[in-house]
Amino acid sequence: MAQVHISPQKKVVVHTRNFTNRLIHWITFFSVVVLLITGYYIGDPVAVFGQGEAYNAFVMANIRYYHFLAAMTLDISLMVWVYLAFFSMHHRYWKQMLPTPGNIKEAIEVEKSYFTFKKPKFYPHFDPFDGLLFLALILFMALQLVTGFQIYVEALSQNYWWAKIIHLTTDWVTWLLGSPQNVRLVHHLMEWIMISGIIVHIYLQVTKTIIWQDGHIGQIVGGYKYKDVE
Amino acid sequence: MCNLRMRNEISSKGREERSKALAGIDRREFLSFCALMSVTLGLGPSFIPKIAEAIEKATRRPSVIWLHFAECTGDSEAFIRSTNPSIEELILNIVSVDYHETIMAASGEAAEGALQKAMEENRGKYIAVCEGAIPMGKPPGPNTKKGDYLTIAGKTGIELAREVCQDAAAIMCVGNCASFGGVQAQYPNPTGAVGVEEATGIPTLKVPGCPHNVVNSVAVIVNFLLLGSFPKTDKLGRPLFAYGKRIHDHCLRRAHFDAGQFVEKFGDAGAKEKWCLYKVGCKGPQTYHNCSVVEYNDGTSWPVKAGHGCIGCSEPQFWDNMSPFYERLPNIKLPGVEASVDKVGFTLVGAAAAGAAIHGAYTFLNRKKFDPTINDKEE
Repeated sequence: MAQVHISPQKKVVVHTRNFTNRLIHWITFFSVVVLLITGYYIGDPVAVFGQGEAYNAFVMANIRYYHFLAAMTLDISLMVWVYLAFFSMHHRYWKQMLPTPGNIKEAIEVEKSYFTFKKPKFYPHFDPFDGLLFLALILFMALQLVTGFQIYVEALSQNYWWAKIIHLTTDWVTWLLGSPQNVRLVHHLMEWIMISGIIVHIYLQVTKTIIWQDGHIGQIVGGYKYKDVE
Repeated sequence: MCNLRMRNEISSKGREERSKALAGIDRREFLSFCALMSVTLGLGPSFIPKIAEAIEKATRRPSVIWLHFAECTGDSEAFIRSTNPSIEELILNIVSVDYHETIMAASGEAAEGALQKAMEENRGKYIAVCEGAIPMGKPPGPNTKKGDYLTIAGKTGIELAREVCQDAAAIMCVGNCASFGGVQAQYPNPTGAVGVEEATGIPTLKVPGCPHNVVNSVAVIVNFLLLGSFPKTDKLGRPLFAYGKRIHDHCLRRAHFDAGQFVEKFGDAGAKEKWCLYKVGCKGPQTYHNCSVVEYNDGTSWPVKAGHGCIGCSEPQFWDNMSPFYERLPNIKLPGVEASVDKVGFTLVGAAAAGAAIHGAYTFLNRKKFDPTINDKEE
């Protein structure tokens, strides 16, 4: 029988996330989903194949097109996200994401609360444990950005000055990772790490909402969550 | 048209030179060679008469000293067995190969004398062509010194390379061994083999490949005759006209890649249809070479045309970096474990999902601690 779970405590509604913040989250979400699906196909083409003569089919080319489109979208939303972390008019969240001793201590407190079920302090946007997870995800996405862009740029001829400039901005990735094959390896491995990170992220948000009854997961849609009144 | 224009342009002096340098080659063959060179160098048809003129007017044939180091002579084989007769005849006529250990008739002291003579006569003017990697390691045992794995006429490879390369006008490395070390420089590299540039510290032009494509090597020499210098190179020192684009971008199977039609395993229906070899480990997308345009052995064939994926033989350390040759990606090597990236990835995702499931079960079992409605009922 479904239980209606009503906390006896009085709650107030708090506005936590503005429209831009929520929009960027969903742009990132959809582009990452597209990237994961198309990226898997590009790395290991399965299930869908061109039928008939090659001039009739354009399966891989189309999938690569959507991969690049989603990648550009993600890159720009990532840059806007990072910009807003420092200069947002609503909430400058960069301080909450740094692995400073204070933040790590608070993150451990939050992490303990998942096992002791003692409600932690109220954090309006995201708690320090999520902050560190987001930092990891942002860094993984940034790594995907540079490795992906390097693979994309490899096709450009080095004969032209504009291509040389683009090569200058990305070729250090190959130098750093050792070989073009390692760039692809890292790009592919990151896909799996991103999926693992997303599983953890979604699980934590859903669990938190169920345990604390504060509408936490709703704030990314509506922008509001509940705060207990003492 | 080029033909007519050229006939008018050639001076009587040119004709005399031609009779000396290009004896035994007919005009049609010669012009088709010039056209091939012009196309390979990316110069276009207007340069055909200029190339012809440069070759015909080369009053002093540049001296070439061809050195062999640790290698299989595959590059020399490719060079002397090119099916187009004009290439090797021409190259032997337009340049003077003064020292080449495999094809020269002299042996012993006469051969070493030829090397010394060529170096003294053309000091600062000859082209050094290097073939093979240079072993830098010290063999075990007493009375050995660094580089003793390769000794020619009492000199170690590194001594010979330094001696010849420091006085050369230009150095061309043919094949992957001379360029980047090749197969013998791969793990565990018992002889400490390295490429010529790394061993001598002198910048070289590299024409890698296993073997090198003769058309590219000859085009480099024609470029030298035409302009007096070697062509523009990429940051690894490979000429851009041949190594500026990836194999994948000019591949004859590229249409099947874009169409999503792949060979699943060798010998299947897709292989018979000549579909893309991406899934069976073709390294064309990460290899810079012009195989797909000029092909090997006078345009006879090349690996992808013949049904085998590219193994990236023109890339640095290709044996280590590009292997496994029949997989898309290298394996992840951790101490004691070697696994494919997808296996590692599945394990990671599985661990994340299992962690979530275990914590979910734990939360459900402890729901009394945070769910007041359950407590109310029990009270």
